[in-house]
Amino acid sequence: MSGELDPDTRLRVEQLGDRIRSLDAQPEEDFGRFTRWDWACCLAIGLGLPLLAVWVWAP
Amino acid sequence: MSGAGDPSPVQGVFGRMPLLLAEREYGTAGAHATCFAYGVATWCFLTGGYVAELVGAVEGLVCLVAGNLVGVFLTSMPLSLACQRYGLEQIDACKPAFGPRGSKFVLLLYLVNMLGWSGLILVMFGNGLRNIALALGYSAGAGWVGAGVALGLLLSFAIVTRGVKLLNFANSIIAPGIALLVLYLVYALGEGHGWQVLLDAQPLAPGPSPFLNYLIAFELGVASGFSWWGGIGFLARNTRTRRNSVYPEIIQLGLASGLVCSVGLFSALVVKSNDPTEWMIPLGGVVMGVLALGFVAFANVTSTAISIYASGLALRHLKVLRGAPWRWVVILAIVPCLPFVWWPQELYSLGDAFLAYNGTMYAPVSGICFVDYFALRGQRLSLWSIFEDAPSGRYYHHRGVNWIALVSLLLGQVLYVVLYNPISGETHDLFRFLPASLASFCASGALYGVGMRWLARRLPAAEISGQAPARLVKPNI
Repeated sequence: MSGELDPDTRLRVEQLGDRIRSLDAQPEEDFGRFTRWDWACCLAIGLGLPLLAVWVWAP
Repeated sequence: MSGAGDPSPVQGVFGRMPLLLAEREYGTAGAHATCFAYGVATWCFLTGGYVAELVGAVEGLVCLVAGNLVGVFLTSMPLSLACQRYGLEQIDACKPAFGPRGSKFVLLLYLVNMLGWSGLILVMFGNGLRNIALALGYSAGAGWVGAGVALGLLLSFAIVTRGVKLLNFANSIIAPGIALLVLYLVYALGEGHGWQVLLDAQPLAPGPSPFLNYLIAFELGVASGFSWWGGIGFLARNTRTRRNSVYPEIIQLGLASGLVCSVGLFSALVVKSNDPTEWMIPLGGVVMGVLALGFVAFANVTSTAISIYASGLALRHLKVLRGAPWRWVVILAIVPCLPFVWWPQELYSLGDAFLAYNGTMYAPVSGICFVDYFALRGQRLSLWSIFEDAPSGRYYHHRGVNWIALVSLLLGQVLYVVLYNPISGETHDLFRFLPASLASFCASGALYGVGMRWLARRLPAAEISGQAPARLVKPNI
């Protein structure tokens, strides 16, 4: 099917392939860390504390 | 908006390309600033106005801030981390769970969300024009609002098709402008009316049960948080680190946006109107009020233009529109907003139902994405398969659709409506113990997880993105 692509699409597919290969080759640590502490922090800010506040202030 | 800077068909499609780390714009400060600019928009005032119908100032503040935080957290965790790692926008990030064709259903929900907000904001624009005319002594009838919506659509069309650079420039003014307007509203409330008046203010149209009103207000807050689903992919894929993709969204889209919604709530309670365009003159006087209304009208048009632009780019996912002229794609995105020209106030009055419906739409989608990305795929996706429409792709599922995900999504929506019907306002007895959006999120995620583990033949075990095929058989770019 990719052999039947028009020139514009073929160019885009080539660029896409280059990008995917580049992202796949990138070491994982280059994307930054998200540790268990980050998870705990986000769980507290995004879920635990808000639900606690809603429970405390419920009429 | 990146890629959002150029509306040509080719660039629109290129806007879906995975972004490389070197191309990403946001460090920590940039991510916070951009999320803040997204978070403080005029629709926050609408949300605050709707919540003012149900609860007073303190309860509303709790519901809006807590609800926004919960909604943003649940919707952003899987999407942010996936979009950041792979440089994807959110519809593509859904393809592992829903399949290349199944993700079109999510696309439909996304368009309903974007265009619904556009219509509501345009009615706010029309109301603003009418109130400016009334304040200046002109007799402006109800027809002004529909005409204002039509004018807003024309202006948005002109901006989106001709002047996207102008739109980006306008957006750089609007975020600080709205922040100043919020501070001014807080000052006007404190100085002009006093905090005790605010604390004593009664809800505008509460139901008979204060506890149910409180729960529904929380539900609206969560739905407001879920509404950011459409913007999360764009923000996250432009960040360089995982932390920068998550914390700014929770803090700015959750906390800051919840606080701005609360200022809208306070204004609505004091002025006793849920229409933001009726707050400015009573709170600030004629001169400041008309200036503020003019600014809000300006902000409303650019907000609408952003939504229509994003909708146009999303429509590019449809094969038939990939190469279509941008002007026609924009017209197609505008057509669903036309009913707001003829029935502005009728549709505006359904705004609270629409806000809650955002929870109905996105809570189950978020639950499914959460389980898919963290539990089933171990945070590993195959980019090759995301851009592959052929049956050989790992995410092709059954004829391009993962029916387990779609059924889980529909059952999650049904559960939401059973617990809390956003249209009729009816609630189930269980709603007192189980917020509809949280129940829908958990039920859809659990159903999907169990279904994929035990029923699906294609168990998504370890997806290793690096195992690249020789070529894409049927690329969807």
